[in-house]
Amino acid sequence: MKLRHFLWQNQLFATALAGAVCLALPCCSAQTAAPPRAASAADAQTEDVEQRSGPYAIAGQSYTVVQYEKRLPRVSDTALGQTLAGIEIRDAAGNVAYQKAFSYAIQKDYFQRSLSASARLAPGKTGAGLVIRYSERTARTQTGGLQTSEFWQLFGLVNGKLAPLGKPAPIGSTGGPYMGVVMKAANGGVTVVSQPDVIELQVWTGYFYVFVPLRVDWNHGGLAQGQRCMEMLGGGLKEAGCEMRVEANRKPSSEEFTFLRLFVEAHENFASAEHVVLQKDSKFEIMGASAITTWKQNEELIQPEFSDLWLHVRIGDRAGWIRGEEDFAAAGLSGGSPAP
Amino acid sequence: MKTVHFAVIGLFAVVAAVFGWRAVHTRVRPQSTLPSAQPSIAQPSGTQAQPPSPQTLPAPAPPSEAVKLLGPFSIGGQSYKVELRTRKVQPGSTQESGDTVVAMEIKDAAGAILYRKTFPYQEANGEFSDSWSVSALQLIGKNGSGLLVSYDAYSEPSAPEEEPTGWYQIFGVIDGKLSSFGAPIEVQGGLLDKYADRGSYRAERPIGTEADVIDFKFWSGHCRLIFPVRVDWSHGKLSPAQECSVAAGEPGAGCQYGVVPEDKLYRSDITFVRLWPNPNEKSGKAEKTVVKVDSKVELIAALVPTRWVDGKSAGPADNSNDWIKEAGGFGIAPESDLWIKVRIDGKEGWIHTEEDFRSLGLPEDE
Repeated sequence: MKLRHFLWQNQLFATALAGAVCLALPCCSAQTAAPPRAASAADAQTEDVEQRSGPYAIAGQSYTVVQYEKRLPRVSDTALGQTLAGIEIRDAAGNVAYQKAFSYAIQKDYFQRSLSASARLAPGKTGAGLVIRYSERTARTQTGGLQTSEFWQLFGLVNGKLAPLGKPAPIGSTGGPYMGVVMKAANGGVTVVSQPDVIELQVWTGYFYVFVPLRVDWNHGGLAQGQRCMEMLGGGLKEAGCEMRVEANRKPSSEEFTFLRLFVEAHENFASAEHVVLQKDSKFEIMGASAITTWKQNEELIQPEFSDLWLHVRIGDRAGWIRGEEDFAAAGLSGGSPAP
Repeated sequence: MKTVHFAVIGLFAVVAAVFGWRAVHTRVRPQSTLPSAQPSIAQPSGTQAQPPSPQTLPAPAPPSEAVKLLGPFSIGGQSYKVELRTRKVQPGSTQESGDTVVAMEIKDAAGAILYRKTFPYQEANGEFSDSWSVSALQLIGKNGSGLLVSYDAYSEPSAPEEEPTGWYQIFGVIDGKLSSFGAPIEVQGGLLDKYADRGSYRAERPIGTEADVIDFKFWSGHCRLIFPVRVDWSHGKLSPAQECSVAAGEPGAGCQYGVVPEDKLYRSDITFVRLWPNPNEKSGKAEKTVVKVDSKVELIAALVPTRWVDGKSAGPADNSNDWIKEAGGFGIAPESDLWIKVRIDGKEGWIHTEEDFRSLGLPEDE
C-alpha cells in the first residue's frame, strides 16, 4: 500500500528562499570578496600549492578553476596535511569571475580541518554549468577516525555572469526561480515549451551514496529540488521520502547470522516488519533508497541533509526496506565517512 | 459438609452432558460484546434469589420443542438437574441442521424451577443459521462446590476463530438456596482440559477457607492465557484472583499469567526474534535470537494488563435475551502491550510486538 500520492518531478516552478539562511556548515568561515589568504601565524610553516582544472566551456566562455592550497611539508599523513585555502574561477583572459577564501588553522602539527575540492562540467539542454564538490575532513577523534563532510557549489549564468546558484528551491513553493516556459492556452491546456536540466549529485548518507536529483536552468540561474514526495496522513499531506539511486560498498559481516527487520514500505506504520536472517550465502541486492532531502546553505556552499533514510533491498526472493544504523550494519553498510 | 459433597459426587458420577448438536467448530459470537462500561460491584444473586413465581413458570413444551436433561448434580447435599428445551434449527445458506436450545431451567429434586434462562430462536431467513447449546459441569473446589453452566452460540456461515466466545455462569448454594454467582461472564476461550473430568471441573486451588480459584483460558490475540477467577462460595461472588485492572488513565504493566502451550507454530523459514531480559524495552538491549523451523519453542508466561467487568444479574428468571448484553467478562485491556516470556532452544527472554509474535509463528486471528 503506497500512500505517496504526489511525486512532483515535473514541477517547473520553484522558489528561492527570501533572505539568507545562516546555517552552521563547518567549513565556511569563508570570505567571499577577498583573495585567497592564509592565517599569518601558520604561513611560516606551510607551503603553497596551486592546482588548475579545466578549461570548462560555459555559455561560449572558457573557464579554469584554480585551487590554492596550503601544505604542511613535514607531515607525512596527507589526510590533514593539506587544505584548500582559496578557489578562483577565471575566464579565458585570466580575469577572475569568482573567488572564495577559506580559513585554516594548525593544531598539533596538523590542520584542524582539511578541505579539498573537485570540479566538473555539467552540460545540458539549457546550457552548461560547473559543479564543485568540497570535501572537509575534521581532526582525528579519539577513536582515530576522520569526520568527513561534503558541500557543493553549482555555477551557472545569473544575469549573464557566472555565479553560484545558491540553495535549491523546494518544489511546490511560490516565487521560485525561473525554471522553464509554460504556455497556458485559453481552454486551460498547458504546454511545456522548455524544461530545465536534471543533474544528480552523488551524496554520502553516512552509510552509502545516493544520487540526489536537482533541476537546473544553467542559462537563467534557476536551481530547484528534482523531486518532492508527499503522503496522505490523517487527512493531510505530509512530507515523505523520495526514492533515489544508490551506490554502496557493501562489506558483509563475518558473523554466521545477521538480522534485518524488513518492512514492506519505507514506512514503519504500514505493517509490522518481517524478520529476515541474513546468512553468509544469502543473495543480497540493493535496489535503491528513500529519504527526505532538505538543503542547507552557508554563504555560498550548499549541503543536503537526509532524514527518514531507508534502503530498498532484496534478500533471496524477499524484497523490502530496512532502516537504521543497526540494520544497515547488519547488511554490511557500517556507518562512516565518504571517500575524500 | 465436604465429605457429604464428595460422597454424593461419587453416587452421582453422572456426566453432565454436553449438549451440542454440531460437529462444526467454527463459531461466532452473537451480537453481544464485552461490556465497555466500567466494572461495578454486582450484588450476589444468591442474596436475592427467589424461586420464580407460579406466574412465571413456563407452559408445557409445545409440540415443536423437545426436552433434554442434564444431571443430576449434587450440590450442598441437594440434587439438581438442568432441563433444556430445544427446537429444530432453521437452516441457513450452509444448510445447517440439528437442535438449538431455546430455554434452560435448573430444577431441584422436587421439580421446582430455581432458575430459568431463555435463548433467542433464529427464524428461517435463508442466509444465517444461528443456534445455542448449553452444557453443565459440577464445579468442585476445596471450599465448596457448585454448578458451572456454559452457553455457546453458533452461527453459520462464519469466519473461523482461534477461540470461540462463550458464556459461563456459576451457581452455588447460599443460605440453603441455589443461586447464580452474578451474571454470566463472557470469555473468548473456555475451560482447561486438565481440570475437566467426567462431568466435573476442578478448582485450581483454594484461597482461604471460603473461596476457590478456577482457571479459564482466554485468547490474547496470539496465544491462550490462563485467567484465574476467584469463586467466593460464602458470598456468591466471582472476581479476578489477581488484581490487574488498569487504573483509569494509567496503563500499568499488568499481571503475569500462565500460557497454554500452543500445539502448532507457523514457521516456514529461519527467522529471529528480539529477546529482552525483562518485559520492558528499557530493561536492556534486545538479543536477536535465531529461530529455526525445528527450534524448540516454549511459552512460559505472559505479562499484560487485563480488564474485568461485572455483569448485571437478572435474577432467577431471566426470560429476556438481554442477558447477553448484560453479561460480565474479562480479557486483555484495550491498547495493552502483551509481553510473552519464551524459551527458544533453551534461551529465555521476553518478546512483544506483532513482528516478533509473527516471527515466532504464534497464531493470530485472520
